[in-house]
Amino acid sequence: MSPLLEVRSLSFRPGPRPLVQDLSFTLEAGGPTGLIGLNGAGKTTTLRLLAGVLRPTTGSIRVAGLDLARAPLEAKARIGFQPDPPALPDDLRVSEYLAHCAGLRGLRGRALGDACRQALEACGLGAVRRRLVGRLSQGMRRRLGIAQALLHAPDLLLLDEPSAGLDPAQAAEIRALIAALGRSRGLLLSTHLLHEVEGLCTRVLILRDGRLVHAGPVRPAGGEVFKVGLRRPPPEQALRALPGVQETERLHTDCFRVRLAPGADPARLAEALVGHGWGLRELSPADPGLERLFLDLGA
Amino acid sequence: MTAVLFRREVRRILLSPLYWGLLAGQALILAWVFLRVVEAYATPGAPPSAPLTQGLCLEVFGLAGALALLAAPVLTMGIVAGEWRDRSYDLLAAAPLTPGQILRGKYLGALLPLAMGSLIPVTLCLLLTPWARLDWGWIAAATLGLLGVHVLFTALGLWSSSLTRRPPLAAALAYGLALLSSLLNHRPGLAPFHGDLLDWLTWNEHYLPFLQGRVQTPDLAYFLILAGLLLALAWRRLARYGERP
Repeated sequence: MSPLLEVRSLSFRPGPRPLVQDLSFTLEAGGPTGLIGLNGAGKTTTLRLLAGVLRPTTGSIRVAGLDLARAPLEAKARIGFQPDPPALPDDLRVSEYLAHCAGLRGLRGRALGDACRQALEACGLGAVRRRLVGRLSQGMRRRLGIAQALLHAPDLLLLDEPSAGLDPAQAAEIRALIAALGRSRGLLLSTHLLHEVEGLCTRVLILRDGRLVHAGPVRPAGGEVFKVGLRRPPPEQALRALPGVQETERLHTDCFRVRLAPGADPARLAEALVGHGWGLRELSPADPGLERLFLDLGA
Repeated sequence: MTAVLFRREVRRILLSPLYWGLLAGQALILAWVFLRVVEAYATPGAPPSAPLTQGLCLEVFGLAGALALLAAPVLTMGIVAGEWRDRSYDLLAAAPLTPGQILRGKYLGALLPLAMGSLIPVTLCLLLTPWARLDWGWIAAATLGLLGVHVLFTALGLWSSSLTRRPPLAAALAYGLALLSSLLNHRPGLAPFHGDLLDWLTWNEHYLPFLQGRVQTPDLAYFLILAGLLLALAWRRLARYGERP
């Protein structure tokens, strides 16, 4: 069976400098995937390519087995896209805008009404459906941008910076909405906020200069990671030789990052550190997380 | 889906104060010229040299064509350029629509409100029905010609709008081309030389027969062919949208 999204050797070269180079990855439903990278890394261009807005110079994009270049209308019918910023017409009411977008997706009559109702409900916009788009708050505008992408019940949702420019409360609401949407469909989320990817996504793609430098789970396989502070630090090799320790890294002269092997018990590590008389003064969780991965690969 | 875009364009233009301002301006100017023509015929002791219908068609409909040239570039400048500038075109490009469907919806949606300008002169003529006998066939021919002018200038405006992401630049380009098309065969000091390409390209040369009550296939074909050509060029621009970021 074809993956929900399959990207092969995708490149976009509108001028002398390529904006996206040789991108290959697949995406399945069941947990959002984060797309991160520095400004200018090619995140927005990648999403616009995947949405069928831009035409790749080389490579292919298949959505549920449909080639976006050969069967664009059928493939686009499977994709929902929220651009950044969501360019919304200020002169329409929320319900009118959604009806317009649903019409562009080929929905008519009762199907159009049902789709608009469901999108309003899913995005919490029911109370403002008669309000002019120009009078919506930033958070509501972002929600409306997502609502229009949901109208035709797409298999794949592409969201470009959905929480950019929002206050913490609005951003939290949007994240809750994205988490709910990502459970039932494929979702690719471009963002600058690493904690958003850590909190929402199961997989992450890291772009640098238009190239994909990492594609994998947000939390790599392996055991827990701890920060270890010692008054009388031993050589690093001695620490690595402790039972259950998979790898170590010296942070300062008396401070280490220690990754345990999968399933290893942290209590055994504490016992060993005390038993060796190294003067244990700190043992705290220290998952290097996405930030370290991003700084190592994406920056 | 063309109908959805058509409705959106019609609404966008009808909700624009600029549109109503231009329409009101056209109506005022045409009404003033209309009254001048009627006054000349109504003055006692000054027998008119030509039928009233001819005066109305040449003066009022003639001016209405020039006003269409002024209004169309302003009202169509943002139709594509504005959407490209705001990136709202991404919504259309990501929808299951062909460039042809987008073009049809936008063109027809702009043409309908613009072509309402064609109704101003004929409405003014209708005001005279209780007092004057007019040649309605002649007026229908002039109205058809004016509609052709709107068909042409709307297509020109749409094409210009598809050449840039800056609406004012699109309007300036459309004005420039429309004025050039008005003056192509204008040679001061020389008798007009008919039959050459420049004459054929000059839009008012094809509008004049309609104002004289003559509906000729070559003149109709001129408006339709040129508008079709401009729309084909605009289609090509829309189809290539995805090649630039």
